[in-house]
Amino acid sequence: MSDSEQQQLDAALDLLRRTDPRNVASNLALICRMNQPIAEELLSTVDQPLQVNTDLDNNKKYLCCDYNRDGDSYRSPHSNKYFPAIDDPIEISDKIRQLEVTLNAAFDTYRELYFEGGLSSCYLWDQEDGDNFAGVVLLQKVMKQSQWDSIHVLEVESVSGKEYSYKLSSTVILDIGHNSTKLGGSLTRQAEKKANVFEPQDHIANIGAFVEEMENRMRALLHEVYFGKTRDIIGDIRSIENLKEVRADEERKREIASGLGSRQAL
Amino acid sequence: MADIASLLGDAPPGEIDAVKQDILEITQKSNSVEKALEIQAGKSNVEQLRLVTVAGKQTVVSEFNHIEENYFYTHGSKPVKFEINHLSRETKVDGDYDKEVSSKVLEIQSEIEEYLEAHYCAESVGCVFGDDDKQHVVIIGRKLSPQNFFNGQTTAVYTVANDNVDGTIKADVHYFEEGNVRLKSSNNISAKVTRSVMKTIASEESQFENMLNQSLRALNDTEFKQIRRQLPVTRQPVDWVQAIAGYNVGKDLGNR
Repeated sequence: MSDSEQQQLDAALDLLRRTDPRNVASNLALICRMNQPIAEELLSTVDQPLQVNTDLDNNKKYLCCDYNRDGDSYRSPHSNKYFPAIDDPIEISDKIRQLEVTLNAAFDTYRELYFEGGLSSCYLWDQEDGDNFAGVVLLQKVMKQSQWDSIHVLEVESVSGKEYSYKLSSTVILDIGHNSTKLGGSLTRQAEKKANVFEPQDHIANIGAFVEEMENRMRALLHEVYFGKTRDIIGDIRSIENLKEVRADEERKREIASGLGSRQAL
Repeated sequence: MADIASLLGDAPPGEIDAVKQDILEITQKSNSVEKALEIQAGKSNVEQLRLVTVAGKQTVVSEFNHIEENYFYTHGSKPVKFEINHLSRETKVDGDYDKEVSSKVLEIQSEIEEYLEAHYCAESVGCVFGDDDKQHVVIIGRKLSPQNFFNGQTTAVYTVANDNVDGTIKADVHYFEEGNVRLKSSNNISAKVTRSVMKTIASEESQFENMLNQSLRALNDTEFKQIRRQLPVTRQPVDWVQAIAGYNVGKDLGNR
């Protein structure tokens, strides 16, 4: 990517951070149409609400993102096949596929416990270096006027012996609203931790606990920003109470307090 | 080009110049995009009641103080005629505006200034235009704090006529620390003037603010809790070893 393309990409990312997050999908498509050289890089960088596809082998739904995409087809975590079918698809190793199957099952349990419904799909893929691999955990819940999408991207690297490092970049996209009040947006956070692996399945528990911890943290953050921060900002702009009266009250209190102070000094 | 230029109309409060720069950069400053941005800016400045500075004082551009083409006049007792460059929002004074200001407009203007002092933060602006029969009130409340990753604005516009106040109030908040969160809320207002225009507006706006706070509380209590729980029903975090073991047992049974 040339320097000028990098600048255009930065401008596109900046624009998507400023324009209404509820329109991220259409704005992203619009920018890609206006500037095709940066389109591919932009599509793989920007998180947007997850698409749902159907695995025609077993009629099960699954979530799609750039990580399980090959051309216009998406790999299903259920059958490991691409829909629509493609010739010569990218394949993952048996070892990684086995882990992927277990990870999907474990996150089914997680999803039921925290979301009581919705969809979850996990994808893993091999990295060039030996035991290293990467993956993504996707979760989605759609309600009448609200939608939650979480995208947890993972990089797992062998450090030494039994020790592995887990790098996590998580984005939650949350649209929520009723009547004339609409809140939409996304937050992204990164974290890294190390943990031991004695047998391959330990990766599942390590990843599971790490994603759970991160998602709980992000839910708390969303709570604070969506319902606390926004209200504080509105309250800062306009006060329901009369500020002149508030200031006069404070002045009176100060006078009383200083009056008491001088009396005590006596 | 008109499509991408239209994003200018949805720029968060205080971020319009950054949005414009981004659009120019993405489209590599083509002449056609500059033209499209200019048209869009002219439209959205008036529609969104954007603030401009004229001779050191802030005023809005709106259909209510529009004279002709790019010429508008300022609010207050000594209005000034000015020309706006819509894309840069720079203004140039073009002498005094010679039409006499209605005494009713001035009366409401001074009420609004008193009201702003009592209820709005310092950066806020209130403008009244119109004549003896009909007055237009615009109140822009804003708190821009990009260093703290947020910008917020309320935009209220009312028409006062025949002892009625009709209009709309909108709130728009952008929070962007490692993310992009936007709150938008709006409400139509229609009320009979009781006591004074200012007191009527004050009471309606307080109602709107209470309603907004209530909506946020309700969304937090219902939608947010239902979409994802804080903790599982068991109040325990997931037992991952068991989650995997449970799956393995199921798989073994299935294989038998």
